[in-house]
Amino acid sequence: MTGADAGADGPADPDDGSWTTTHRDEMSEIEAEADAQRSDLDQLAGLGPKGDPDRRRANAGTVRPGDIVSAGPAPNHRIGRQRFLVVYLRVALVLAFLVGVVELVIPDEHRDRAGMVMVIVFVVAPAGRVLWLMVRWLRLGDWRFALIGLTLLAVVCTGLIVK
Amino acid sequence: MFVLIALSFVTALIGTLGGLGGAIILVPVLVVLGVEPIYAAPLGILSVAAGSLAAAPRHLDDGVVHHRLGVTLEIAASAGAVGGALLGGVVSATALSLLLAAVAVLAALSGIRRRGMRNLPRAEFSLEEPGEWPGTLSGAYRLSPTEIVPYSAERVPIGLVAMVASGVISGLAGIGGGFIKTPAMNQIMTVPVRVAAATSTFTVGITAAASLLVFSGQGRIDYRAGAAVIVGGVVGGTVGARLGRNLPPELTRRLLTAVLLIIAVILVVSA
Repeated sequence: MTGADAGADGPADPDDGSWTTTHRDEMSEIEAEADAQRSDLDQLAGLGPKGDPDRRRANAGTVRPGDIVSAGPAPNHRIGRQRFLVVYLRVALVLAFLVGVVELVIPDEHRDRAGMVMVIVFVVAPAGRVLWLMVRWLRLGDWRFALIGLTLLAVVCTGLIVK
Repeated sequence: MFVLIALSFVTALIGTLGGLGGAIILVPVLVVLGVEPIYAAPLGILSVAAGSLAAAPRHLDDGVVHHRLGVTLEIAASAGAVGGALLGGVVSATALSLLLAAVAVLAALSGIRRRGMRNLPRAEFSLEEPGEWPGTLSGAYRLSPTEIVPYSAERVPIGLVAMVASGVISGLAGIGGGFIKTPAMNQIMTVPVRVAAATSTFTVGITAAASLLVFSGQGRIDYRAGAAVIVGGVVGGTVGARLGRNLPPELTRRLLTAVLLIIAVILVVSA
């Protein structure tokens, strides 16, 4: 599967009747995000899906010919979208570190239990990240990669049953 | 125990400076010091998991991780890691030592290899927001404030084969496998090295999780030693990341290469 192949169909069309009216409002921001992330210029490089260039440009916050452009970088609207993930991973790291410290000082009889907590933290942290991504991709209509994420979690879980 | 904390601290510091992580030095050093490879491997994997977790927030802030690519490739790597962790219980200590030596040499070679810039900035993308593009294995990243580089992952099936190999080695030897994943993504799949490195750091955490589940089921994890590795590794990795900003990358890469080659020679001799 090449990148060009993968982008052949892209996220689901919000007007295809697959989403309910209730979902439509809360999905509008996500639709705009998906549109913003695809440039009409993708087609020049043969990298992305096709679509209405004017609409994408407007959604992406980019400038049109004739607009005044500063020398600085264009604002990155993606910053902050993964804030939850950043906080989640920082909390997991601190938790792992604290469990490690506790494990060094507690008596032997409790060590195995603390050790299990440490392993659980290191398994749940990346698995939770993948789960969060899956939910996000599903909301974007990117069901194919959501399915790939689910497959990955299934593969990781096989580690629980094989010895 | 304090020796192990200090060792983890030093190896994580050096490994982070060289951009390869601490486990690639920690596991061979533990084996050289007399720890059996099947017990050194889980400690290395714990170090990998901690390193991946520590680096993740920074990479997310930089917006250079391609999650779709990482998740796709990681299916192969995790499957390989589970297989490798299972094999680790039956492979002889001598064979594992020799494998570690080969891995150390490979990592050293990947460190000294110069990489040309394959993906170039394109003027027509200068107003594009950096990041991955939904539904694709393509994206763009910011090379400089005004330069945006578009890219698209190619030869995905070959990349998947490389990921299986990295997973097996990771599960067997207890190292991260980033030294295989990053060059594979960069050289085979034409993904920019910065994106490849960040995506690889994301994926080694998942590979480590798969291996840890197997090691835990096999009862191969020494929890007290693991705690020492994590405490030393997290602190060493954090200090290394800060020091790395002020040291020339070429110098640190050469130092790491020298250390890995010395370790490889010691491993071969001791095996």
